[in-house]
Amino acid sequence: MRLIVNGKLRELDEDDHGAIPLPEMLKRFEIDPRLVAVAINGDVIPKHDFAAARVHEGDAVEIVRMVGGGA
Amino acid sequence: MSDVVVIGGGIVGCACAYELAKAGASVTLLEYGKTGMQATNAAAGMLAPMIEAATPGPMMQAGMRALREYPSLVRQLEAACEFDTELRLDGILKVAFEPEQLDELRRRYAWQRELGLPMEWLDAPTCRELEPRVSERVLGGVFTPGEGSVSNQLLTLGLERAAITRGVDIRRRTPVTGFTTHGGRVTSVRCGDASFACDSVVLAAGARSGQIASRLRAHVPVRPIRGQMIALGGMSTPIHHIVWGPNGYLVPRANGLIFAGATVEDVGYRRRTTKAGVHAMRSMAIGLVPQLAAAKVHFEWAGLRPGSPDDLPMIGPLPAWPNVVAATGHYRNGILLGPLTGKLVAHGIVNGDWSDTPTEFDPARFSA
Repeated sequence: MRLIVNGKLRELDEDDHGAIPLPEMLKRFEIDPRLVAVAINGDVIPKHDFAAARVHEGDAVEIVRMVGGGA
Repeated sequence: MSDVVVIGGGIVGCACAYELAKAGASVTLLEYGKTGMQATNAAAGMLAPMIEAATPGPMMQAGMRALREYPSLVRQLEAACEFDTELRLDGILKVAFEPEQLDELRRRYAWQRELGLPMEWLDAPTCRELEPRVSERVLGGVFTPGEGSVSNQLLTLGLERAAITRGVDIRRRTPVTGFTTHGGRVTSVRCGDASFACDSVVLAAGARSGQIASRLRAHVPVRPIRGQMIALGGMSTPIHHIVWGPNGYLVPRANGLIFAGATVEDVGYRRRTTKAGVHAMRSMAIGLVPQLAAAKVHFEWAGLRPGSPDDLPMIGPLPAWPNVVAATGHYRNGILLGPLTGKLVAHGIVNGDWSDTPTEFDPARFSA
């Protein structure tokens, strides 16, 4: 499955339904979900909706990290 | 013919031009767009070498020196320019909301106190006594009474004006297209059809320094790291000191706005704000000071910081080009270290002596 992540093409193995849960995608990119904001195709995903959100083939995903890094 | 051509009109380039002119050099400054409008503009103006330091080291040391020298520089500039650069050194509060964040703050507090740095430990009630609008979820924090902020925009304008007063020739909208070299030295800097002959070059082009250095086949490993910021307003300011949380900061500015920042993004040269970025900063701000939920986002903007592989700047001559001096790679520390960089570069070029510049900042560290 191909995604555009922060403007760059990334490939990931999808699950049976042609999509990946957002937390799983972040895990594969080794990103701590607590430290980032995410938008999929321009729609911001609120933190409490992360678990239910999925990314699909061709989605444009924006992952934003903040200064400080959680410390 | 100039003694020195400075490439780049951000805070670092303007500080270099000002200090070089003060030391008696004739200087031309080449800026590809407008002065002070890139990473320099996308900063909050924080002067926080202690709050920002995760570990002791050359960055914190240079930052402490820069902080000590700020008031005298500002006095000089304000006398020359007759405007206030909004220097405020009335302390920064950094708070924790989770036990592991509190532990990390405690570790920092322990080693910084051991080094004799002026820092105070505050329990939760004291944090809220200092800043009553900080979230009641606060568990504790540290306060650094000698840190603060400056208006990055006004300070850079001050450096630029003071440089012009001292005879610096500033050329805006003048992108560098190449160099003329002779015998291992750069003899002039080319901008399209124009050519600027010089004895020395200062490369202070921020995130574009690497691209410009590549025209000399020199390795200056700077890459753009985007930072987005927002300005919140529409209410009387709920905080009176800079407040840092685990995921960002709030800087109250003299104009009544609160600058909230910042993102740290590796997205090439795309220099725009994004929905997720603005959302992240607004959420961070509300998490720190819940009352800001009622504030309006008055402005949002972004800049490309000059990142370096070890997060330390590159200050000093390039190994293969002895008359080309790097002054770049300041990443998130350009406002704090910019004026000091100007002094170090001017001293190095005028006296041929780089012993005052931390060896950790030597650009030669990246040469194979």
